[in-house]
Amino acid sequence: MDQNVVIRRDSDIAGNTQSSKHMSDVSSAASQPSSRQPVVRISGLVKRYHEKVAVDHFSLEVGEGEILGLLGPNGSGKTTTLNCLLALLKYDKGDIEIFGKPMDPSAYDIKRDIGVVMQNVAVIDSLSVYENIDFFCGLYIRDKALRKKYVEQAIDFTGLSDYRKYRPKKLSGGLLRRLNIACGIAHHPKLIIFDEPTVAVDPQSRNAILEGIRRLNKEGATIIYTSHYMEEVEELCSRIVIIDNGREVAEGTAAELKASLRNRETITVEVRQISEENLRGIREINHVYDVVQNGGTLVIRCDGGSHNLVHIMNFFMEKNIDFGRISTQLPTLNDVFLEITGKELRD
Amino acid sequence: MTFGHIFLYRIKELFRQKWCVGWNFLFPLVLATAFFVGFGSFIRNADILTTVDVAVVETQDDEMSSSFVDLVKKLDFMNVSVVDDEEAQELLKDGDVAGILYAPSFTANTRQLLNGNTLDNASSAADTLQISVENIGSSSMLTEDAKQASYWINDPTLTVAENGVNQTILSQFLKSYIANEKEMAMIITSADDPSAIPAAIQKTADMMAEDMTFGSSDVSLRYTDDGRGQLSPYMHYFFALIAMASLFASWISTSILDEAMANHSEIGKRNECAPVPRAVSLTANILSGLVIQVISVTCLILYIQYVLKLNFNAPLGYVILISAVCSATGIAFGVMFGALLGNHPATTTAVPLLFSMGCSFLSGLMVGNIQQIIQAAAPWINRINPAALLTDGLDSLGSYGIGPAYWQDVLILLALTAAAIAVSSLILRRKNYASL
Repeated sequence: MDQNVVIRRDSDIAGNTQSSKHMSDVSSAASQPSSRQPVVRISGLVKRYHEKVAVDHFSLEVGEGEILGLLGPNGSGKTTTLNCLLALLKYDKGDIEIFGKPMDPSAYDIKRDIGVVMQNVAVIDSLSVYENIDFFCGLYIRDKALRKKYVEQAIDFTGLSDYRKYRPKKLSGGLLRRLNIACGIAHHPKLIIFDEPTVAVDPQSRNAILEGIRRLNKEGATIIYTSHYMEEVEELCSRIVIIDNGREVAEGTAAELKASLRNRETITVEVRQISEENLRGIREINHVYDVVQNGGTLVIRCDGGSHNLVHIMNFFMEKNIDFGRISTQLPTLNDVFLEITGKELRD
Repeated sequence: MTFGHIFLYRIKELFRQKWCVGWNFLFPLVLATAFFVGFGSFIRNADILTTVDVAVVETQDDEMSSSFVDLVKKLDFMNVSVVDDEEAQELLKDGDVAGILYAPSFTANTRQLLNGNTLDNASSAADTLQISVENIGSSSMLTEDAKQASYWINDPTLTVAENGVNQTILSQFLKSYIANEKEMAMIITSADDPSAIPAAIQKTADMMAEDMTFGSSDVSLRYTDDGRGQLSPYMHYFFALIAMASLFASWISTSILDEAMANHSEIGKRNECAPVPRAVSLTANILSGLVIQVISVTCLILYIQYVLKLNFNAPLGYVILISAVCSATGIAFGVMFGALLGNHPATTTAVPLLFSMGCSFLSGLMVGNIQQIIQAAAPWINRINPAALLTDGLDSLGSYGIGPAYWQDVLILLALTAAAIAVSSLILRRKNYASL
């Protein structure tokens, strides 16, 4: 297993905070781009809703300039964590610091540098695109001239110039999401939190949104990005934390997380008939560690190596095994999640 | 700066929301028009009847006649034309006046007294003038004739061309005046110095002008400077309508909370993430709602007064003042409901509707005398019902002028507003939420 990746199992978490912290420090040191004080530090966060523990001793650090992905299925505690981070929710235990200062509802100096893009669109229907951005920017920026400049920049940034006088009801889903983003980032925040910003968005708008987030990061913003779409997180984030049932289950870069898996390649072959002897033979091929037959399909898992497909094809040829379509797939974060938790990310 | 930013944007937002314009601005105007179509004519007729055109003819050149003319001119429900007899007849014939009042005058006996001559029927001229008021009825010094007012004063008379309410008013006025003539006769017979009689008669007439009340029970009285008069009972429906319109402010404040509180909406969440204290945000929002509401209620009041031409019998500033205070009560109660109920679907529509319509019903919006029934059975309800307080305030303003009853209603409304704000503050002052 890659030393930079931390994978937590249930047995690790219960009462084992000391070693977890050590491991977390190792992984954090390895994957953070700078050794400066983290922009966000969450330590041992616990949030309960009566009997249900929504966030269970969750810890997180986000370095300056990072795009941190918070990945987990629906109901895993991502949004609850963010609401605690933003001091909207009371929590039962833990500490939260942003920019090195404790976060609380009256920390207006901290709030001034935070931008939030909500999971659900949060704009005012009776105001135009321009007015919405101006209104929300005005809650952060008091200088009228500066605010006007920022609003124009936000409109250009999100490609809404042609729609400035439109009301939200006249906008498509994608444009509405862009407006939602513009309202959250217009005031040039240093920390931006995106909570599932591409839900129900068309692919074109989705790509525009992801590109916009990259640009914001290039301009200096630290970003926390939550999603249950692993492809987005893989594409965008410099570091990923996978959360399930309110706990961190894995942390590292996308490559590191995938490399931590035993299964490095999955080859799927259509076969009409195959004998037990041949199945045993396939299992003995180098790097093949698992072969499963599902009706007319063979699923072959390999734990490393290269040219695995070539070796398997050669075996089939030698043994005159009839086969149909073949496909090969590299591991995904879903596989990481599946291996750790036994569940799919998109349950 | 942020306060002003939120305040101005919120006003812009509310003006653009169809439900706000529809329910808070248009619906009360529509209902007022419906009320007017239903029974506004009763009120308008009452108003017209209190202005009576009359011709007054001075019968003699004496203080009795001139003081009568002065008295009639002072009565502001009379529209007086002082003309000669011939012209008066013309006016009556043409229907320009409801009747002709012929002024009273001193009789020859009084003129004799005023000229220093002795009276024929007095045993002694000097003794006559010494008779005191108390003795005049039983004095053996005066004959039976001399004890009558008609001995000293020629009664005023009324000539009319037809029967009607205006003519009835003139007739009743005349009766009231004649009933006071006995007092004037006493002045004549009891004066130590006859030269003082004219001034005393004038003074008596001035006092009568102040004290006189006229009209029958069928006729609404006109508002007078000292606040006395009667409003048409139908105006109470319009007062209840103004109360309902004022309390519609509760809808505005539930909408305000929806956008200000994180546990109500995503917009609320975004607002609460901003570096703006909740007190500043809520106050700016609430004040903007109050401004909108006061504008809408003022439009309604002006519509009733100037378009429907129904008289409140009161200075408009005070009508608007108590309505504005009632609007503040509506806003405060709306905030309280929102704070107590949170993001429950009932908060946005059902509760404010129930509150405004319920209070208005109990103040007489649909059943005119229900407020009186409640006053008899459970008067405390009228003391805490904002709509009842408003209608009571407008009633007393129109009937009695600006007085303790009006200010009491205003103060109770302010107290209710303060109480609702206090309850809301206790709930809303928590800094974050247990759940969202």
